[in-house]
Amino acid sequence: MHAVVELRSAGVLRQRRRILHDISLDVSPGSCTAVIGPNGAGKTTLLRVMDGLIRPTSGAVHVFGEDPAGPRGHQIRADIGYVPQLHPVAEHLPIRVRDAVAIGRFGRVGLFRGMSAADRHIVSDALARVGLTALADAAIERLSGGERQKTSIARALAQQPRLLLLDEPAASLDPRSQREVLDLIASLHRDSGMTIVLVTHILSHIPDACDTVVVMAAGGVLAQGAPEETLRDEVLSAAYGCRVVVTCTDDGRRHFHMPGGHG
Amino acid sequence: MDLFAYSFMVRAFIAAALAGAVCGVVGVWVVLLNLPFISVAMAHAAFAGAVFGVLLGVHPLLAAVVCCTLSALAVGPLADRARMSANASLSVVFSLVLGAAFMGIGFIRGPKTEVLNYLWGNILTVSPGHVQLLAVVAAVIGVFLAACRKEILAVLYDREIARSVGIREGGIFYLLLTLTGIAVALNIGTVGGLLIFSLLTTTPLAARQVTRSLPAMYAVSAAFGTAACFIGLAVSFWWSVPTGASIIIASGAIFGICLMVSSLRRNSR
Repeated sequence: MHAVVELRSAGVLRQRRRILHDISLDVSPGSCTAVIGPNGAGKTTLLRVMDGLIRPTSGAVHVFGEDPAGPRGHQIRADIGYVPQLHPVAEHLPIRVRDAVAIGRFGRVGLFRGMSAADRHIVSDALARVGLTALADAAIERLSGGERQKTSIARALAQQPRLLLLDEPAASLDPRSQREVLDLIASLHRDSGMTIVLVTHILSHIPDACDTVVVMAAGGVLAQGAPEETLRDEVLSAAYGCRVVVTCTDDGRRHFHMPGGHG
Repeated sequence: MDLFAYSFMVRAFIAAALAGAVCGVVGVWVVLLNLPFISVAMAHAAFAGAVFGVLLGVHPLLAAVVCCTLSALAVGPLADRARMSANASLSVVFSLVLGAAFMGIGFIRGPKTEVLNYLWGNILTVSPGHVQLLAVVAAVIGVFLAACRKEILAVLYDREIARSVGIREGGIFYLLLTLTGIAVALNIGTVGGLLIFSLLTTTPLAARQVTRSLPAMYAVSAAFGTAACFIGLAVSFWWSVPTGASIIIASGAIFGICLMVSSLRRNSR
């Protein structure tokens, strides 16, 4: 089976600085991949390269067998749900939550066409999936951080994507909202078999459903493979530049500690 | 005195209705894209165009529209290519057109009243041809808004999100800037290049105070723009005060009233 995402020696050079270098990886259909690493490792850039928002300066990137930054990139991006790390701040835009989620349909609906009843139904389903039905008609400016994050995820789901890219989906949320968002991601993968790539610098945010981990540091891939091969003391310590100890509880859950730190 | 007893007043009211509506709608884009400086930059591009129109023997209005269109077309690609904000790109374009305008003024022999009128504007002297051009631009903007309302909403929400969902946002963004530039160029003859800044920002911000959806904001902003132009024209006619200044003060008064209404609403909740 062809990989959903294929990167071959991909690199991004910006103002003579190597943001990414020599990245080669495959994302299999139906997999859940976590990209981890410290701040500045190039994780967000990698995700944006996968979504065609950044064109690599070297190497090749293919999503669904095509170049996402190429001439047909807009058609490929319509199949990719992207949840950015920072929520857009539409300062004065009077927009309801339902309208913000509906933006996810626009690429699929196409130019000069209105939203059909089926499209509106898909938007309602996406809102229900993230538990925002009650807030559908609320002004987006009134939402909390967690609710805005769920709105972003709902917008990506409204695309009915074949690939979901999530950038630090729980990083800036309170513990309860973090749990809700991570549970939502796990249920999306479990129920729909959607291919998910999730970026996080917080090790405890790696979903249990995750079957592949890519460990990044300084713009390169340090290790990639199954969690048991990659989530190891020596790999994580090298990536984060400090001692990281991984322990496993009886229920198979991993816990990460930084002796002498707060981890 | 009957406001409509003179043909120039009838023409002025038609121009006011079109100018107010066009500035109201375009102003919504200006405010939501956070680009108020575009009105100043485009006004000076129009001024530069008018200067070179006079120098080259081309109709100044036509030259102003061409110069504005070219300047507006440059803003988006310049920002994207140089990886800077559209506001920074506007400041580069503004500096260039201002330099060109002053250079051109230096070459004009004799009185410079004709080109300086482009900075002040006078709705009472608007020609029938100018009114027809305003109507064409209003129609083009209306068709663009109706045909691309989804894409415009996505771009106003966030350009990167618009791109990530599969919209060709670059073309939509550049078109928004270009139509704004053309609208500014054509309305310089009505309220003037320096005062159009207020009409493009005050009425949409007033509309934002009292609306909760984008379609309502467009409609109310256009209505406020037209109302400000009508009130300004009438005040100017009855009390013999400058028209452009009256229009701007009227739009400021509308903003003040809307602010009071929205504050009262918030307090009563």
